[in-house]
Amino acid sequence: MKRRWWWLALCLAALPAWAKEYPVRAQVEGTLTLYSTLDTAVFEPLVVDFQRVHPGIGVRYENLDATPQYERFVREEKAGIHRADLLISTSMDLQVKLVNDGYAARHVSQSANALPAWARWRDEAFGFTFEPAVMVFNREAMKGRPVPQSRAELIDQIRRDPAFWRGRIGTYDISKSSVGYLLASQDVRHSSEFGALVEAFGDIDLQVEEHTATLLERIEAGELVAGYNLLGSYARARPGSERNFLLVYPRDHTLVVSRTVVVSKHAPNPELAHRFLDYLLSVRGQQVMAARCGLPPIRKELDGVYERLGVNESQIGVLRPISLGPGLLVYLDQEKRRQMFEVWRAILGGKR
Amino acid sequence: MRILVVEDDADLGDAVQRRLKREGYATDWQRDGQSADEVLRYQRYELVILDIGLPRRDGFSILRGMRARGEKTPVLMLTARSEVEDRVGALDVGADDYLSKPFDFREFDARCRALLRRAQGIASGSTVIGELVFDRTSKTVMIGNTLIDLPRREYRLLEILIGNLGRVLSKEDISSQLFDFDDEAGANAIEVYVGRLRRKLGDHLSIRTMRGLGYVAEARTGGNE
Amino acid sequence: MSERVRSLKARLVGTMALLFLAGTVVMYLAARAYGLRAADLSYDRLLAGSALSIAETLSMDGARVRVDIPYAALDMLSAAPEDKVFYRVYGPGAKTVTGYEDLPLVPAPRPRGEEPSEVPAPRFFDAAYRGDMVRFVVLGRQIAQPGMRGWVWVQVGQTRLAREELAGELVLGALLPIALLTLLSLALAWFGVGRALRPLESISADLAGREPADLHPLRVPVPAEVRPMVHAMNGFMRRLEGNMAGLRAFIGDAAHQIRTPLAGLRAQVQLALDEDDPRETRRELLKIERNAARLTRLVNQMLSDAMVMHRAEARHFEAFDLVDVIKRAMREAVPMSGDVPVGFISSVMRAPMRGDAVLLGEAIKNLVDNAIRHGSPDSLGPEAEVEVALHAAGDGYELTVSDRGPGIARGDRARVFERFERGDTGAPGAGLGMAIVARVAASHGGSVALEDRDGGGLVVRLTLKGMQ
Repeated sequence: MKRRWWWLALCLAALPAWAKEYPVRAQVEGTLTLYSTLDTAVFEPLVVDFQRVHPGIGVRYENLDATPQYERFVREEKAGIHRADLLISTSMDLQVKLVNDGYAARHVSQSANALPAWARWRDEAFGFTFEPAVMVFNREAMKGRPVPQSRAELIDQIRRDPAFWRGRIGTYDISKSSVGYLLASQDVRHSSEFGALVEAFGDIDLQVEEHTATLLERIEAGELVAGYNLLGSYARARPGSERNFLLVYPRDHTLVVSRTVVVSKHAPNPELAHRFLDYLLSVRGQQVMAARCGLPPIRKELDGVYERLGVNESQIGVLRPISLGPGLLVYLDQEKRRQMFEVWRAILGGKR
Repeated sequence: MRILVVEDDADLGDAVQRRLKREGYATDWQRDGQSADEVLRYQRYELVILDIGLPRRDGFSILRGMRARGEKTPVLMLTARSEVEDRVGALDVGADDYLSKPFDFREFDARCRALLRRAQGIASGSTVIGELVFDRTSKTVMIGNTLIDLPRREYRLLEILIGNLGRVLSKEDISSQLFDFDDEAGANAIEVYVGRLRRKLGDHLSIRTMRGLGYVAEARTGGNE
Repeated sequence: MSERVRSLKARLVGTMALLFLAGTVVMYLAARAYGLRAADLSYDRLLAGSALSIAETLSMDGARVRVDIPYAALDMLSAAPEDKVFYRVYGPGAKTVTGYEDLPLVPAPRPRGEEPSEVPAPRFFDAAYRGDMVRFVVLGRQIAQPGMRGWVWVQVGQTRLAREELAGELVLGALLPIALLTLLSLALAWFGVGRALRPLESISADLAGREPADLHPLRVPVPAEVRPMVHAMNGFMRRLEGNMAGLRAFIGDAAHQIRTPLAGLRAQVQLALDEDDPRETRRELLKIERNAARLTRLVNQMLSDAMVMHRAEARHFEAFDLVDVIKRAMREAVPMSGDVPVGFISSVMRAPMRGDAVLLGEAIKNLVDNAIRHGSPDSLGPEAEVEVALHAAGDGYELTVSDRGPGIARGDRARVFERFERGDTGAPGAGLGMAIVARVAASHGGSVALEDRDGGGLVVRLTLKGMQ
């Protein structure tokens, strides 16, 4: 018994955890523990509104990065420590693996049934946002230049004027960012040009960062001209984005990420957890999220796709939502990862 | 000698009752089954003349009741019905004799007399046929004042015959009552005894041989009673 | 009369329903087995395809086994959208190259030391893993390199949700039409039987609508199966009609026959009432008594005749011993027979036959009665005996009742057999007339004849069939 507490203390201390409490005073039904990769500030409006609807439920919000969150949870489960009620992550593939490995509880509700088929797997994993991955350009830097509307056009532009682009294109470091890895792996799957694109990146000294914010900063500052495969929602939420950024939805195909939520099979407060999930997927929750969190909602009852994205239909290419399913397990395979990283390092190592 | 007449028809009942009274018997007459049944429970009779078709309770039912109570009083059943089964049925239920209406009063007399004799024999132990007196208790047979000497077997045979007046007895019926297992009786033993009885009592008691059937003893109709 | 017989419809439909139920159960079991097999076959192909696509990418990099799992390998398995997926690639010594390390191994592994020489076919098996039943496929590839050689196995597994669902659909698809067919058949049987039995309704309607005395034959059109019944009913009604006709005739006769002597009786009574002289009155009364007796006999005869008619038609036939019946009849007739000797001789100890014992007994009793009454009171002794004799004759019996009476003149004999004729004696005697005896004989397949007796008197010869 003592050993478990020790472990817990160690876990809590060792990890870059950021926990925020949202306690309640009156008619306490319990306290939910959320593990989430979303910034606390971004998610807070949802917690607050949820507590308006369910005043007796306290929330403990622990913000972690995707991979550490996954590893921590699995470790706790294996040790028999059941802390988390819900897990929220941008890494759709890791959430799918949790479900596949039997860590998730089944959730059935009207709101859940209203989700599109690709945003639901086994009634155990649910996507609740709709976030395309876009190319972000520095508006200023691109003045007078043709803005690439697709991957093919980007490759073309790079080849034509490598000097302009050298060291000025940035993307996620796939060895550190799990969403970056996810997007890269989906690119491999969908894009025939990805190989050529990667080769082109390799020639121009691709810049990589772990976090979206950092990339956006650098683009804003002019250090980088373009960001590839960045989460558009971050770009739009950033103040001054209209002025600074030019968002392009690649015409050949635009990947769409859906942040995914899972209820732990051994959640300490299962009934409350299901209530939260139901809220998150409900029209009200989605509205709050769209209005106050800056996250595009997944439910189609709310504004149309284009309104949600604030774009014109003519500006959008083919939207390809990443679907929740066993396919996502492939790129989690250790061999596969190893091979991906080998290629990646080769690119970064620079061919020249 | 008390006789009960149970008959619902006024004319017939009256005639029967008067006839019996003239013969010197004390007679009661009941007109319906229920009251007849009640009377029979507390009053003893030597003979019951019982009609079948009666109001409130029919003759069969009364007879059944009597026999169930152990009443051995002789019963002569009358009926206007011509169903043959009635006759057999009446005897099965326990009637001693059966007469269908309309009947000849002479036949009626004879049958009453035979039944009364049987009753008397059971009651007093002695049967009177004309001048013949058969006394079971003292084991004597007398004609008038004369004592008739009868060997054991003949006496026993006479006793059997008198106990079954008017009934045809087969040789087997008689021999089963007359002989024991270790008696060797010749085939003609009974004939011999019957012959002897005829010689001694023939004027008073008729013992008829029915070839192939047996013997039947009856009172001589030449005499009265 | 009959026990409660359940409705024909209910019985038929009930039996059919039971049969169908049994059939459905069998079908369900078969369909489920088939369905699971079919589902397994379909999804197994997918599973094998997935494993194959992984196996295609196997290579050696020096001593290391390399595998590049294609996206399609696991993505194709989302044809079963709700099922979990597990996989493992392992090499010589069961060393995991990649994937879930703790997947269940193939049961019944090949004997040690014996390596398969050719490319083995994929092997399928079910096993429990992480709380679910999982279907696995394992296939092997031989890897050859200079300096090393061995087998690499690819194992892919999938939970069984989609298979169960497909199997369920197949079963439903098989059973639904059967269930519908069953219901249809039962309904058809129900109504079919109802329709088939409608002729019975029309028969009932016909009979119910008739007047009580209406016995004309049924002319309702009926199917072949019901025709024998209608035929039997018509035959029955015909016999009933015959019976009723006989009764009507009898009543007609009887009324006539009774009224005449009754009228005569009344006249005599009134005459006696008018008479002053007591001696004359007494004479009249004697006459009246005689006539009353005659009338009694007549009435008895008529009633017995009716009874005999009824019984003869009804034929209450049973097996009995004729000797017993004769003896009993004689025992009843003998008392009060005065001094007339009566004897019985028989050439057989027992005479089994089939017939109406009561009726025969009555007939014989009354023949004996008649013989005793008609017997001559003048002569006594054995010669005067009334003799009843029984002989076996052919396959039946012959019974004779002989008396020493005046006999019946040959010319009168035929007439005696007509009803209500009494021959020419005038002697008192109650009971059945010869006509009735003749009818009893006839209903036993026999006959009655009158003959002269040697030495004077009448012989009544009754011939009867034996066991019929």
